[in-house]
Amino acid sequence: MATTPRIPEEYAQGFTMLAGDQNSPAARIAIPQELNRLAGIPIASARSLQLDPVLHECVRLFNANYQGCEYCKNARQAVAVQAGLDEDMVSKLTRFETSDLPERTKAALRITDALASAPQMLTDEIWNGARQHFSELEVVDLVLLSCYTTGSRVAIILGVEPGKEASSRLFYPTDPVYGDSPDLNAAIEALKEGGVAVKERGEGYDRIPMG
Amino acid sequence: MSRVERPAAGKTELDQVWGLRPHFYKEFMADHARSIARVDPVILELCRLHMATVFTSAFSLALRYRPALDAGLTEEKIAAIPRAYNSPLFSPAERQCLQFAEQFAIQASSIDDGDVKKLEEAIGVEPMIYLIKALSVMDQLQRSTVAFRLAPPAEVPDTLPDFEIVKLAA
Repeated sequence: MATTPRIPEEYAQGFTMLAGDQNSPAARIAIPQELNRLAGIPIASARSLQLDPVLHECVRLFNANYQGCEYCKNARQAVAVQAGLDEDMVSKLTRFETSDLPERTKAALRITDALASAPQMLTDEIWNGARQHFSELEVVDLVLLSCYTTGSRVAIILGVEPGKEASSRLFYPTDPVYGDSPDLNAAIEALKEGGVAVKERGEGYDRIPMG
Repeated sequence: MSRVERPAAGKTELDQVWGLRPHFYKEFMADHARSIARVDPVILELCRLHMATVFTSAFSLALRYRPALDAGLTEEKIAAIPRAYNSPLFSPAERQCLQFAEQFAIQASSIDDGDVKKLEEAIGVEPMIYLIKALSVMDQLQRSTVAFRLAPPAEVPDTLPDFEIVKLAA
């Protein structure tokens, strides 16, 4: 674990998925499972948010940096990497305004940045600026995703954020952390039908060297 | 009127905007309901309204959490939240929770070991874990209501069944 737990070990174990005894304190707090289940929702699919995977990942990684979540910062969604996300792009996210990232990406990150700071900072200028690049529905998705990806604060505050060594790899939607719901399985099938390469469950990880 | 010009059908602006992504809305609100139900209702409502004031969420400020009202929370006490640190209406535990909620909403990254320790001493470890998860989902929802500029609802959204519209004395 990267950070020192601020809660007793018998609870912290729940966040590292080590809780074997279903009656243990770790198993009683359902929060780790809830966070994982929700993490499986925003993969671009018919029943979820539908931003393009690269933009989706830029928003998520910007918030990971903002919140200081090492685990989130050192994970990459395989779907986004397959769609063109590269490390040069990722390195520019925190200083996006002065970067050479596309204006479209900057317009999206202005929404995420404002929401992470204070939602009142999402001005008409930022909203209308985004509308020059995105449909209204895409802007709605950007807001929902920007709000949703602040959820790592729970683990960070409790001192149970797993750290970068626990991620540092590509995450396929078949990864165990996303669970095994019918909705997720339908999304995975849709991705495959769309030509996206998705590892089967249990096929192992693709580790990638990162900060 | 919200910022979204082409909303979905729905009873309130929350339903109309979040309802553009019905599956995400349903899943998120199910988690929201589960998360807030595990917290002492009065503490939860005090924190929720304090965060709504910080964010200026007109939508959230127009609602009241019925279990908190049933447990004795009054409008007099709600009105005193900004003065909670000096008001005899608040217990030490309530003050500690309000301070933590404010810090969570304004700058969660500034929360340190000492802040968590004080909260744990005030309410206990398991209630603290549940409160922090509840603060997270309430924070996420409230940020969105401000971003979308949702108007105070005239009716309670079906996704917030334990809430009611605030009744203020004329």
